[in-house]
Amino acid sequence: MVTWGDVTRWDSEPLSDAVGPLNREYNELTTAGEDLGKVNAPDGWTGEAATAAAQRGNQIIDSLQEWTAEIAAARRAIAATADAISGVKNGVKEAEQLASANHFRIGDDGSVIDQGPPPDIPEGQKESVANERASLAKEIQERVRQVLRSANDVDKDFCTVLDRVLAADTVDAGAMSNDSVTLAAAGNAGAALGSLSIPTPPSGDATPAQNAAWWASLSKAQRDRFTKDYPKLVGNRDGVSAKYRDIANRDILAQSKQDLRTQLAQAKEDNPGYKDILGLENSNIGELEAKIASVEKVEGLINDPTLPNRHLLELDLSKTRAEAAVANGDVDNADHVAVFTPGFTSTVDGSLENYDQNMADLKTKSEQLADRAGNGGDSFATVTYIGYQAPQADEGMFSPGGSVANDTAAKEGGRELNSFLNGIDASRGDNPPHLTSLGHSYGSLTSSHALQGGTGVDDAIMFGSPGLGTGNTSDLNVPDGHVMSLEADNDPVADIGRSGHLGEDPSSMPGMQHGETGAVPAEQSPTGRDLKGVEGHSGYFTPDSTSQHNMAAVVAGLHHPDNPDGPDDRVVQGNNTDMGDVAGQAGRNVASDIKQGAEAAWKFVTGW
Amino acid sequence: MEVRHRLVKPAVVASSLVALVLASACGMEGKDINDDPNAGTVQDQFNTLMQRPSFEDMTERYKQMIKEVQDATVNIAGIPEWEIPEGRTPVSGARCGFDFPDIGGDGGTRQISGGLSKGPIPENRWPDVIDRVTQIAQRYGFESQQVFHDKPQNHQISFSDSYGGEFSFGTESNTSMAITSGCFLLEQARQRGTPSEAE
Repeated sequence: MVTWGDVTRWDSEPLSDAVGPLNREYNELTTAGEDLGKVNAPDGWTGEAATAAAQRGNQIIDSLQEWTAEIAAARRAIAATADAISGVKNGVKEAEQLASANHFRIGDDGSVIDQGPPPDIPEGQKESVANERASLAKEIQERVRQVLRSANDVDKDFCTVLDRVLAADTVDAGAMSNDSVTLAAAGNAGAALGSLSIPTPPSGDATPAQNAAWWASLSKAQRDRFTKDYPKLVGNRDGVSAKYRDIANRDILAQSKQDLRTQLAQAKEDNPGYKDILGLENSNIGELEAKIASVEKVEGLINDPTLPNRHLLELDLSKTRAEAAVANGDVDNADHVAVFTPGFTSTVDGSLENYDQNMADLKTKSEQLADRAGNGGDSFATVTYIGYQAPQADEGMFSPGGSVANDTAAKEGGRELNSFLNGIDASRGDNPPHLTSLGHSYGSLTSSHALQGGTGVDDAIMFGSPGLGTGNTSDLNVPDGHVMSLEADNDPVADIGRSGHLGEDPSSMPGMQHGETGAVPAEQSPTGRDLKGVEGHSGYFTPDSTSQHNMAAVVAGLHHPDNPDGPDDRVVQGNNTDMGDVAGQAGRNVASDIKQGAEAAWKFVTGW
Repeated sequence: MEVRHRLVKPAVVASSLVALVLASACGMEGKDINDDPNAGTVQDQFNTLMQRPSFEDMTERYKQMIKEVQDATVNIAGIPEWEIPEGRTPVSGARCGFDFPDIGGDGGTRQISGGLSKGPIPENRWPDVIDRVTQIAQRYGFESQQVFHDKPQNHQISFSDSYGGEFSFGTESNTSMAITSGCFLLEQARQRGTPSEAE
């Protein structure tokens, strides 16, 4: 078994250096052996001596074939091992950097040693720091495990080839024809033997940290090959780099379109009267048509040359509605990454384009704010995440699993979003981005459930939220003071939050920051320009609005709740409550009374 | 029997009521978020955009303008050469949305970053710089201007064109500029002359 101490000392250079001499040897051999068959049996020579010469010639040819195959096998295996070692070493480097940056150490036996938290942690934060360190230790341990798995895989494959070479058992030279032989054929057979397998990915339910650790231990050539050969194992694998997820998902997208069209044609053939008397389509056919429309929208967006830098980070066509996440910018390297989760009625075919445009505007605003504030040079990426089954205004609205009135879809979506967010951080190793989660409407409830599961999110913005499924911002595991609520005047959905039906209203939640959404005159605006007020439920992204400005400031890392009046804080604080909240609260009180009365009556009538 | 009772339990009734309220409150979400209610039909939007130059032509014009401003500011103020920060896309884009919500892939908007010149423009050079920048901006159609900040080490000015585009230029810790364009039809859509996505 290879140990951590072994792999830290692995060096691919001697192997790389050996490839050149082996190449020369191989070329000399194959050139010399081009006409061996003819030399073996010169025309017109017969008799005992000729037979003996032919036998001896065949022995020489067989041994040359084996020799050529051995060199070819060793050459390929050595080159592949050198390449694989570069991947393993990369995995070692990422694990050690992650450990060192967080005051851990990895022992030669692969154990993770906690060297203690920073000494100056305030009393109130000790528990959360301890939890975070436990989670970090687990992640580092997982990285060690994956690196060793890959290292052992490489070691085993390489030894298998070398064993065959050392045993002179690379090819069955005796079975190969010697009449018109060229040694290149033997070389090809040997080279085929010398290929190394790529370490298989962790199981389907692997955590983003496990996936990231596995991915980090692959060389570039292995990543390229794996992505090309197995796109479905890469595309939605949280923890893998955005660049490769995009490559894989584009591949899947092209194939899926054709598959869906075939399925649709078949479904229509199987259901000739697929429209009922009201002209409504069979639901399966409707779903397939919506998925094809979704694929076409995604295709149009990511392949449009006028929209550069779009990346398809997620594509799932296996559920009722298509799911997709499209990034604008380089998620693998951006200093700031913002992930936006929309809510009720959001679909890939109906919503992706508009939200992508909202995100593009937000990205531009964030860049401008950062440039002026002295963070010039910071880079940004945004992600429009329609990666869950958002409730729809259809018959499912009244079912427990798909209704906007309960949190079932939000909890399920929250699990998926949690994995996605953790995947972004994990894929970045010890260089995670400043990560902001934005959730609108029901999407804020989904975001909240994702955050409650623990993520590396640094800032969260909940806007137009009907509730967060919790009563305290500390449950969201975001640094103190970095959860912001935006509530526009006359936003009935946000006012519903007062009912408490989906958790406490963010506008009155302890620990919540409140961003202004009303108009702000130039003299009070951090940008010196008038900022527009927004109203209602769907205006939060309005260009040049206070709401959009606040989001951009947070995404750019220009929100410092510990020093809100300082020059580096560009957020406009606000109040977030209006008459709707007052009415909502009154409604909640009345509803509570009615509920109590109804339940008492119910119990009286039914006995339960 | 018990099952039927549970189906109509008050809590379920309450959930359904909330569902109805939410549905009516945010039924537009995801489809028409932020759209201009006075945008008109697809054909109306398309006709308006046919009166404008093409997306491709405007992209080139804006890029040329940015280049002129970069050269002029370096010459006049002696500021460091402009640079596009690593990881930034100098010319990016998005769909139109808002006032042209139904144009889809027939059109687009541009976000063109002028990048950064590290550090502020020296205070004594600001008047000359902004004069020259204004001249260039006006030549490219950014006729109206608005000054947002105008104090030492913090000057922010914005210019607008008739297509809803904005050119912002300013100096604070760094000097930066960017153009966010209005909506333009792609040349291909202009050649076709009719909208591809009638909704």
